[in-house]
Amino acid sequence: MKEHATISKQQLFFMLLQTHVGVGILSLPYIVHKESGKDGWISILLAGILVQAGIAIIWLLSSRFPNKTLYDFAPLILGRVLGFLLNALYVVFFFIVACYTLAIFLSVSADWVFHYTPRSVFAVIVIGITVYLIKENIRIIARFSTLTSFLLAGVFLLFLFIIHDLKVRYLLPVGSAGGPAILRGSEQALFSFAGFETLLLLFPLTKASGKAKWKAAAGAGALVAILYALLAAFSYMYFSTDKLKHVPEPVLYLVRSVELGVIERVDLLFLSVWAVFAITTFMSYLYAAASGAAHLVKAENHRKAVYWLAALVLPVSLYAENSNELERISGTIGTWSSLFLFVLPVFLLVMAMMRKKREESS
Amino acid sequence: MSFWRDKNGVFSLSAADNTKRLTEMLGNSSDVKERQFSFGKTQGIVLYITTLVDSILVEEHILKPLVENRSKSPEDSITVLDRTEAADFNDALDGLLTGKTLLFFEGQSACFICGTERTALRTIMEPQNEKIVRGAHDGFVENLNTNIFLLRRRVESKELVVEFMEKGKRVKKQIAIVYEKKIANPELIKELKRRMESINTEMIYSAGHIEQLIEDSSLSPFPQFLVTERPDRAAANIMEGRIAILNDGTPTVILAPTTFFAFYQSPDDYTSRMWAGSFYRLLRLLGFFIAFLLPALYIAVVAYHPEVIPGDLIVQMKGSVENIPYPPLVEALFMELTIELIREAGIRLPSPIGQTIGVVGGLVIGQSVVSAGLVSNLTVIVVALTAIAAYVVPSTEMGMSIRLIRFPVMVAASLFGFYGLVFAMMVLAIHLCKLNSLNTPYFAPFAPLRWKDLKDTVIRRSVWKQKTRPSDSMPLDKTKEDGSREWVKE
Repeated sequence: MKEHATISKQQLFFMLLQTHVGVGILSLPYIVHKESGKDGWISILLAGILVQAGIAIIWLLSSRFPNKTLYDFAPLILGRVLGFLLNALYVVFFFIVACYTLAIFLSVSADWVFHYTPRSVFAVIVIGITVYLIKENIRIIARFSTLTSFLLAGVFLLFLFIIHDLKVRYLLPVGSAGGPAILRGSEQALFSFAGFETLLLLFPLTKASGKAKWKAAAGAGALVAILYALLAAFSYMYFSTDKLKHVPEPVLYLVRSVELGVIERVDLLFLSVWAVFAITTFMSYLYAAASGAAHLVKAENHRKAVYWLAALVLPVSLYAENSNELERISGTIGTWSSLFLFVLPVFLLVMAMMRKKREESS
Repeated sequence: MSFWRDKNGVFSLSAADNTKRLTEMLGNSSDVKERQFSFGKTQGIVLYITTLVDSILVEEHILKPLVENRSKSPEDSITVLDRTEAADFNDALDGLLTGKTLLFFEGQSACFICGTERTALRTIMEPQNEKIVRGAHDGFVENLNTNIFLLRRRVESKELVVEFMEKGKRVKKQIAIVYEKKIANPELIKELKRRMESINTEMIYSAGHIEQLIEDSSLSPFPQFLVTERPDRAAANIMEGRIAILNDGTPTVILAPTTFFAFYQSPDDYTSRMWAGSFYRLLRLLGFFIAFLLPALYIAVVAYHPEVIPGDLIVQMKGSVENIPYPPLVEALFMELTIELIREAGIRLPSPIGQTIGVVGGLVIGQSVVSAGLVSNLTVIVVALTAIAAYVVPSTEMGMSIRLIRFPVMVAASLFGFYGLVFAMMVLAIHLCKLNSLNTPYFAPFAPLRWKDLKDTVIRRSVWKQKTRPSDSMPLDKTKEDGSREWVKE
């Protein structure tokens, strides 16, 4: 029996939100700043627009196969062998991103709070929690994502407390970095937007009209873009351009300066909440990889694949020891990700249109 | 014996044979009594268990009319309300055991069962464990019929359905399912009956026993069905499309399906004003967080993140914690277990001594443990606050669950600080997302999110604004309120 659990359009929205908002949130302003300076927030907005295009492509592709996931329709479009290969590639990609997310999570946690706790301890715990959730069907995962989305609102309320310290003149003159620099920044930002490619799996599992699905996905993408841009703008308005060069995790430092009166070192709380976002991203990717792997080996459900991949994640994510190495790996994944985020979906769409493949309406 | 077995189920023409057989089936128990009488020319025997019947009923409504020959036929003379004819010996035996009186006539192969049960009733009073300030003050008792009477009195509707079933292999106990047939979802009723049908236990001891046999996840720390001893609560839940399960022998009524938040609601919320109702809802939810989170938070802060505390407080806190030889986990565990001990001892002891224990436990231990330098002042404050918060839950079951969950969360916090808290809360949240109550999501209306149902969850909106029933019980009819405040124009 294949599982037929479906999610609602609201759940799609929140799941996408949780997949999007992940490890990148801490250092995104810094990464973009390296290329496009204080105009980084424009880069992020531009990247957001590009993401909208990516979502539209996947939506077009999915609406040709309303009840089939990527793993189902890729062989239909490309033939059995090529389709299998493509699916395997996607599984590997999802798996690598999952490992990368976990590795970043471990690295930041070690740098900021737990200097002496071995990484493997946290890795095992996180993987344990993840397996506990993602062995269930998509509906449970979506419920959990919805629940954790409440935290997001709380986090952004925090930023209200620093508004009086922001200096708008740090952003001026707008656009001074120049077009090419801003575009390069967008390229850097793009990987932080990774997450919408899970739509390849989520669209067919959503029970809503085609338009509603698109609205939910585009809404989540837009919300994330706006939040990211705000975050970057806040960072740039708080730290001047010169200072920002030395702050690889500006968001954490930004939160650190929040004074609530009741508690200090808000960054520690923020980091704990961020842990939830990182783990939910990890969960989404591992689920995507596991359901793909299960499909490749024609397993009945994804449960066994979850166990296997969970065992594999541990050594791979512990592979990168320090943050420099991680940054290098991040560059590589960033480059490759555009293939999976944009190139392959476009390719699939074009092929499907040329070969006039679509799901037979039965 | 062989003679009877051959003619199994058919009564003998001789009344004495019948009663003898039944007496033997009951192991010649000393309280099985028979009395002979004559109705005109017909001889007869009444058979009853003297400890179960109401002797006045037997005398006044069975024996007296029979002896006085009031009517032409003996059956018609009997004036008890409940009178049936037994189908076979088992039927007769069941009747005897529930306190009915059997009637045999010489020369008639039949057995009449007359309802003469004695009911030793506790008076209907407010349940001690679910008190409220305003509203009804009656409570369920140990008798099934009385409980159904209380429910029917409250929901005087032709749509209220009561279904009886008998469960128990060795000792049969009556269970009743009560629901509102135009609201309760038939799928859920079917599912509940499916689960009830498999009950194959020797004897049902209590409502908690049934609960464990039919709940969705028996390993979960959370109670998945709401239990109550309050008829008003049960009636309100029935009107929300839930199914009530009553059993003979306990004043506890099980309500299914339930959500997590139902445990945080009290009939008081609805009788008081909207603002007060909402405030106390929020307060109880705050209590929930304090009860399972505060000690863990304290441990995490003291052991890992003292920098979170504002500068002005840190000096005092350091002064309090510094001279304590034990790690915060040991401190907190020590105090928590002490409180649990006091609680448990307080329940068992007769009430005058119970108060003494409270004083000894609370004041003496609390005071001297600090001055002995075993536990810090702060820990005592934290633990006391936690203990109070755990008792604001209007349901005892949920209170106990929360007090238990607290311990693993404390251990997690002592291992990994804030991260430990986050991990523990994630596991808890995932568990709540997974958990079902009678196949409906337990953590609704938060997971899955149902905006419409939040109006009666975290807060309580005005009753006239609550136009729809909560959808977690999947009611057939969603409207519950329509334009009560659109007053007729003068």
